Amino acid sequence: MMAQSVETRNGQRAFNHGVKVVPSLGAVYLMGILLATFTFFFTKPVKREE
Amino acid sequence: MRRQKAKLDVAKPIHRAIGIGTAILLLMRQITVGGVFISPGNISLSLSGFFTGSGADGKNEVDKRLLDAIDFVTALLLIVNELQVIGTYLTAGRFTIVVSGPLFGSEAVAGYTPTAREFARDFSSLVTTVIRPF
Repeated sequence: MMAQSVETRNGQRAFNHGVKVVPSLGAVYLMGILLATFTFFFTKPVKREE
Repeated sequence: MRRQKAKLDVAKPIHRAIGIGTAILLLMRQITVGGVFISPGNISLSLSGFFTGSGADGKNEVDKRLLDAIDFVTALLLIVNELQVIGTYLTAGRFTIVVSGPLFGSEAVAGYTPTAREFARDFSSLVTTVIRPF
């Protein structure tokens, strides 16, 4: 399963009243690797014009 | 004379979308400000939550409200592009989204493809000159 409510994962309870989305470990790694790849290869610091 | 239109870099809207997406996650309380990176001349905020593989929250109601306020301000700054997603901290079973910007002393970060294109070109020439002869 891609994601589930926090109340049903490892018996953990939600800290706030809202529903917390908890992705699977694979999805967490995938998001992290994609974000790292994008920020490494496709971004650069830019000087802002005054 | 007609003005030449600047060519839009495809990475720019993607980078903006990542910033807006992060702001939405903050406003929906899926992630929260979990730490601060202090570097010479600038600071960066580290955003994490169950969505990124780890959870953090205030110990009491006052802390929670304070954290919510900080999250709200951070989300607003991300939306108006005063803060940008500058990278990630990837570790065992979790990652954090790192945001910073001119407001925190660092340079603004924007999407930019030419570096990646250059890398792809170099890699391609490496493959054709080194690997293909064998």
